[in-house]
Amino acid sequence: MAERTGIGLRLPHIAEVVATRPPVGWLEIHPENFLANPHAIELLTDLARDYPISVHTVGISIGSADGIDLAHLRRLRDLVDRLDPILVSGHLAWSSIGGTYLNDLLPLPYTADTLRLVAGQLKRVQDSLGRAYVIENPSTYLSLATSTMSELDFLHALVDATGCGLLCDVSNIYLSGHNMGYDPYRVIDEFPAAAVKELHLGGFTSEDDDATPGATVLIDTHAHQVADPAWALYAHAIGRFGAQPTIVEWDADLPALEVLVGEAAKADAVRTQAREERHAYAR
Amino acid sequence: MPTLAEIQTGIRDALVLGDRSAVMPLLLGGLHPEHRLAIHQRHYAASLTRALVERFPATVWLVGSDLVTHAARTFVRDHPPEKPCIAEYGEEFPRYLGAQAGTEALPYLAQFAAIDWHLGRLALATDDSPRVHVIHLDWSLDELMTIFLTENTPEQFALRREEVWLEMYGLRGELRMTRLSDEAASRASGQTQREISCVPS
Repeated sequence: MAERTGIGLRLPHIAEVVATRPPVGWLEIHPENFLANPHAIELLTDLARDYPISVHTVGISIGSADGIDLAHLRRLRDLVDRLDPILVSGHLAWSSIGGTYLNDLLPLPYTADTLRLVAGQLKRVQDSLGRAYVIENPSTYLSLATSTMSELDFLHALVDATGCGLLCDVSNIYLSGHNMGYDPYRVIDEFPAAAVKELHLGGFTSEDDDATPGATVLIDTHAHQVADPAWALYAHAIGRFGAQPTIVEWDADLPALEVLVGEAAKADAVRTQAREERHAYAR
Repeated sequence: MPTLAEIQTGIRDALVLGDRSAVMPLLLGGLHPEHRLAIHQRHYAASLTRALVERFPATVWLVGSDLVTHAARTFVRDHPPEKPCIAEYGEEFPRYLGAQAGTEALPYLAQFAAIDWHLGRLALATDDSPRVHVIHLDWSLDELMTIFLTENTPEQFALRREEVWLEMYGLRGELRMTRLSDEAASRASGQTQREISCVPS
């Protein structure tokens, strides 16, 4: 597994990454951006000779009431077979219903029925891909009043039911804690640590919260550098989970590649410092 | 208690159609959760509208971004995506754009946007994917598209109404357009690695 932090590889950067081979540990792609782009797949296949690749889906919709899109799953499987990635992951969310794809990661009600559905569909995805499918905690602005358990309890129950791995998006935990009024440090402390396979960091945007006058809401735009409070929470997460493989994501208002590579280097520095402090504490 | 399918259908109706009635009683988030739902509504409309507009650069060049953006906003409401690959979304947009009020003086707009769509796909082609598309046109739109692609604006240009079978070829960012004879067009329609399109003007 990659020692150095990786970056989310977006299409506008791919030619420069091919040409310059920047010093990052690995590359993570959204397959939905590549499946319709044979040229980009060709370039990515070339990069896969030099970098570990991770496939992070945004279109599997593991929580859809009307099931997994099997045609999309087959296309994903073909890409995964071609790239042989080190990880395949997706979100605890849904995106499709009734034949409409909503291009977003939408909240689920956390109930026993949803748990059975997600566990069953996770098994179907893993069976089709022939490998583990790691689940990421969502960014949250809304929850459903019909939920009977917290997101954290749901993740524990999903791991217990399926043995799945988790992708802990540290920025999502900070953002969701801010938006929904809970302590992100407590979530890290109580997260199913043994299941964590990967960490994510990404920038968010602060806006006035029309839902609560005088407050702010954090939007998961991936359009900025990682904010200082998310870096602090990341250091705490390293203390809890160990030096897990990490990806820095940037999806909108893409900066120069060197800025994104700099964010990955910063994650390496935070991780090294957190590890040294941990060792010093142990001595 | 509503089923998961009912909840998700309610959220879809809110995002696509703006009808929040079914889902509002179920939402938590701040003092007025409808404003948090609006974050998802904005994302649906803005992300898909932007994706469509970026998908038709020559059409934006021809008629301006206001017209294309306005049509894209209503298209994402009337024709939501059905698949997760948004790069493949919008194949029906040229016809939709050509049927918009205010485009009556541009009877060739749908066919021009269709060329735009095909060239966008072909620019991404490799040896392992379809790299030749053929389209039937009622205007000399290949000449107009050449002006866009070469950024070489002539002193004068007149669009002619004429029947054209246009073969478009693409490979790793390179694009080429060639007019076909009727006989060649007929032969092309029988070959693999080609797509044939007819968009009414």
